[in-house]
Amino acid sequence: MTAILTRDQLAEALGRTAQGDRAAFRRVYEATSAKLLGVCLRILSDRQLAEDVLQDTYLTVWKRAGAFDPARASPITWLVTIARNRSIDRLRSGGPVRKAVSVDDALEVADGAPLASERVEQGDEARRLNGCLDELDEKVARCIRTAFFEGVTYEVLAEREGAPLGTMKSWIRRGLQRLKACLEP
Amino acid sequence: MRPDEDTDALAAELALRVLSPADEADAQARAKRDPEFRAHVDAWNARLAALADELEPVEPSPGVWPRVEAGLPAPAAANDNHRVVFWRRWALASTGLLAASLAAVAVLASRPEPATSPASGEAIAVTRVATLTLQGADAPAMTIAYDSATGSLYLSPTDKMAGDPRVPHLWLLLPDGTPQLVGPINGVEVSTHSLKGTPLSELAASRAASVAVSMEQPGHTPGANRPDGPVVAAGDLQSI
Repeated sequence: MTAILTRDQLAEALGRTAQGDRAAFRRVYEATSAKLLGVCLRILSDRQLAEDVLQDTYLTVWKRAGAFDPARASPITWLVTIARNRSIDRLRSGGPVRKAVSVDDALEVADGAPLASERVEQGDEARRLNGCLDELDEKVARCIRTAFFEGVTYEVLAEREGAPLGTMKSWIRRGLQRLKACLEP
Repeated sequence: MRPDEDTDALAAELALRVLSPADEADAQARAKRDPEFRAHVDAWNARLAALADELEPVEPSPGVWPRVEAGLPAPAAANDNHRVVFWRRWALASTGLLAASLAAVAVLASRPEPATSPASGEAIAVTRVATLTLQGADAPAMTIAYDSATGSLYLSPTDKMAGDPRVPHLWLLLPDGTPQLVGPINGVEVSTHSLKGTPLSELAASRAASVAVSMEQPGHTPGANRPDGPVVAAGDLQSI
């Protein structure tokens, strides 16, 4: 049921959603729900929980559609950000306990960078971002990816890498600064 | 670090969500009051969101959209130009006034004398109401009200169905006991369903004798005439 909408069509559908147009809202859902569920599922590792958060995400989209400004953000970026933030909020809310992650999944999680062959589907922006991440120290790039995909804080990252909290903060801060410089030379 | 670099670094940390809860709360408060800082956060969200491109899309279960829809405020008026009506209803539902007026309708309905008009005449002209009670416990699970003029069905659940992972489905029961599926409903928050133009609208207006809620597995849609999950609540549909 995934319908393909161009960026402009999606932005227009969001604009109509802001005016209470349910058919437009449904088009937004059909075009983007599979992508957003992929985001929720990556962070929450539990299908049912992820679908709960997905539902919550679209209710947030309905309420906040008026705040979406196509001049300032791409619609898919805006939607992904909401889905990711709602998932992280749920992860940290101390709500239902997260399902244990299998060893295979855990290994997959630990292995951050996708193979070059897996990147063919990616858009230009993702290619540029990955190119810039590859230029960072491997450990720093891995921490940034882990933070993005798992929604973990400095504290957890420091623990996992066996690094002092202050060190982790300066790694990530510097890493992000370099990332920005690389993306916007 | 220069002050503007410091601002941008904090914005990046907020977008990446690596801050401790206390620091995050401070940064979020700043994003609310400082548009320039918020613009930095938006820019970082845009940079980082591209990472999500490498995730496999996962098609949601068919039950998710009905749950999203059930959570929306009152539907727009049939004529889309009637924005005023839409927004008044939206405001009514979102401020909880709808729940309050439903409670008033339920009180009116329990009086021996038929009420001449609902307490809140605004946008609602309720003709039939029901209070559903939980099976096996004498506790109200939901109040429903039906406006036969507009075909709007208003649902106001109590907290009795909260936390159930199954999806509540609403049924109209004919006098001979035949159920007729209305559809999945929101078991937690006030919601509105439009039956306008469907065969259900006439049933709800006059023929249906009672209503019931069954709990169905997520993603499962029962047949139109038979619930597959257990019926957890029911009540008589009274005319007012």
